[in-house]
Amino acid sequence: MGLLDSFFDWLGFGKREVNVLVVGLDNSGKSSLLNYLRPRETQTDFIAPTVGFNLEHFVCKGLSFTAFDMSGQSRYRTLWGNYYRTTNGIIFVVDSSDKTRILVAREELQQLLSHPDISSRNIPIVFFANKMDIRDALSDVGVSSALGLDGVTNKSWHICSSNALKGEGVADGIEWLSSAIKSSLDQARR
Amino acid sequence: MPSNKREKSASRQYQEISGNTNENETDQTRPTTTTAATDTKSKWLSAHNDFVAGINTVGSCVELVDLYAEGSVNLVIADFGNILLMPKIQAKLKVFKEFSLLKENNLSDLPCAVVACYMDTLQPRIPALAVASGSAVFLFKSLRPYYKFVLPQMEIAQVEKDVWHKAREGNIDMRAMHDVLNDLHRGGTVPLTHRSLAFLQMTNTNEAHQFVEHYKTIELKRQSCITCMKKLNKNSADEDALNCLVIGTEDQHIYIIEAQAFTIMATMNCPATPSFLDVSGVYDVEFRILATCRNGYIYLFRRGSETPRNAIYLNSIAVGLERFGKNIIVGCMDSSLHCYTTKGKRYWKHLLPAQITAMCQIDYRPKGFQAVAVALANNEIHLYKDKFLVDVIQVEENIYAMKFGKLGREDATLVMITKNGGLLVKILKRTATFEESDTLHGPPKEQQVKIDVPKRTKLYVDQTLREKEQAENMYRIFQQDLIRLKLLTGKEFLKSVQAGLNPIAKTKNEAIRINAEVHGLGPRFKLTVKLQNTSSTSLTPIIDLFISFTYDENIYSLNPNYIEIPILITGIEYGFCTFVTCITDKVISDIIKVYVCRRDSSAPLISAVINMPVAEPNLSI
Repeated sequence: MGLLDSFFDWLGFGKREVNVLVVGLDNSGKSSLLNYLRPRETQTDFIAPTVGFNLEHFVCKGLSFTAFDMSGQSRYRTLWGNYYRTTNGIIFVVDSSDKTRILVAREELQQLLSHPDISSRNIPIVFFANKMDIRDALSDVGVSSALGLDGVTNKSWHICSSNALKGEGVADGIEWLSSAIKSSLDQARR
Repeated sequence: MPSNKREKSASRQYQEISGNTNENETDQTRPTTTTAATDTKSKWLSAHNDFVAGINTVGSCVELVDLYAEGSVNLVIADFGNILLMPKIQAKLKVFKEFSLLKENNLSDLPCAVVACYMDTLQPRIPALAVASGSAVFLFKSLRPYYKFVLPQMEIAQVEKDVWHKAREGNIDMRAMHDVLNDLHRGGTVPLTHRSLAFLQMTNTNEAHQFVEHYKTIELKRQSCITCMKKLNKNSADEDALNCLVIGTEDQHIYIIEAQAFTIMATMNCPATPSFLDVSGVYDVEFRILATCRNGYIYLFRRGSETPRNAIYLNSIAVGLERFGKNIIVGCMDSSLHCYTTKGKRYWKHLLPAQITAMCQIDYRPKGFQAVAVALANNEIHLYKDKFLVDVIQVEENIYAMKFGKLGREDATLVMITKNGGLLVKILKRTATFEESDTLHGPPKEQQVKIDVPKRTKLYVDQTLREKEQAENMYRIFQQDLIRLKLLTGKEFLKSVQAGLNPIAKTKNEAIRINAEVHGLGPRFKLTVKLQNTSSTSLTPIIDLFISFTYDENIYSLNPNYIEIPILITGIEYGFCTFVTCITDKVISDIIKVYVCRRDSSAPLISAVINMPVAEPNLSI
């Protein structure tokens, strides 16, 4: 079975469908990040604050991603919990230049990790320390310590600094996520 | 009402002040001590703790406003600087972005209020900052000095004018000048100018001479001081609509000033100097101004009237004023928190554990959460939702200023300035819920639940009507019956005492308790009579008593039926026995009465009635 699957993968058929959830505070750059992952011709220059959520599709490393671009405004944050059950991976975007609210991001992360649909499963999480181009932004290490990522032991996670407008660092994070999702799916099959 | 012309001359362009206002664009980042370990139970995230920020201010000088119309709210603080260095004034208008100082402007006098107001209709909506200090309001647009509004001048006594005029011409000596001004001051009809008051305070002749020389050529003015300032929407209730400024002054006036041309649109006469204002409504439609004054009153002003509509008397001087709809919440100097309606009815009063140091309103629209935060001298901040204490925040220092609102992009932040100049910022957690359960103050919540009272029936109404009409009659009948009952009881009691029928005999100095028991199944019973001398007053024993029985001789025979009682000593129980034989063969029973009698009296002392059991038949074998 596994041999046949990898053969199909290699051929490019039967791409496995995976769902990922894109979360983070408002104005952290979630929609911009997904906008960068779109094909060149459909990208937009103007990103408005998301209301509710948007769906985006992209392909990476033989996985077909369906990304739920959640709204980060505080009144919509309760919606995040509805999508935890079906998700295979989480993209957590942090505005590394907003030092006021890094604590709020940490609080939201704690809530996400303690949710019953998340805490029981090994879901890979990729953190984007976004807006690294802004002058006094925190580094990825700074964001990692501010979010208290050392305490996250039962999940595979990865952090990379990014600039969603220019696309720097975005591909790295998504590639890591694809491989992490693949390995977690393989693990689940065995 | 001062003329328009005078205002124009008083409010000159801000050119001359901007000379001494050096702008230093700073972009310094302080080391922040963000506490990583957040208390999971707390409803607040401690986002920023800087205990050495060196800010010295009060609540009215803190403002949260989106200064650049970019969706990120700045913190604006009018800082008093180091008060210990007075009279050198270090007051500064500081603008923070995130937690770092963005820009600061020097102020020429100690500020008393900062208000962000919209003074034009341009897009994007960029607000101006109005800083009230001394007798003027300084307006800053894009953080640059823009305009200075000066309060209208007040009347000066002609005598005082003449004195200074003579001083200018040099034909009055110091002593005469001092005497004239002193007489005027003692007379107290018209207050003197600050200049004359300062002159009168001088004791050194040389110093006074220099003072007069320096000031005699400058025009004599008398101006009031601003004590408080708030903003009022002019013609629309929108948040970014055009504003007017509402200013309370030391000379007991409240002015409403248009922020476009700086004309005084309305003047109100307050019976005392206002210390806090609260303004609601729209100027062109209807507005209300609440002013807490230094005489311990709250006055309510409305559109179109120069004098207050209502006055609420507080038992103490107010230290803070917040309003929620029609409820006024006032903190007082006697560490009490009151809630009044605008009509002056008091809903509740709480006595707080310590003095109030700062108050602010918490209005978190997304959750519909409205409360008042009261900072206390015991380093606690109490949050009151209606009358319920819903949260207590512990802080490390005394809080002297607080403001709740949007900061940066976060909706619910509480900015606090401590006594020693620290800047603290707390963020309300998204998941925080405030329950209206309060064990500290007032009755439990259940008491608020309305009882489902059934509808009044016709019978009930008739009955109440009858009770109303015949109240006197009913009362009289009731009293009559009560007295009759008492009389009957008394009579019966007397009768029983006289007949010795009760089990405890009580004469003047003798008290005997009787207790009779019947043993056995029959036909032969043993009857035990126990007597106890219970008199506690006298220790003299009772003598000369006997026991006798009355019974139906057809049914019972007693042996003996007469018992001599020996001496009865107080407290000891004596038992006397007799044997009762049932001599009838019918299955019946009867009573036997036991009498304890005194030898010299015919009436028994006490008696007891014994209900005899039915005797078993005599089994003769």
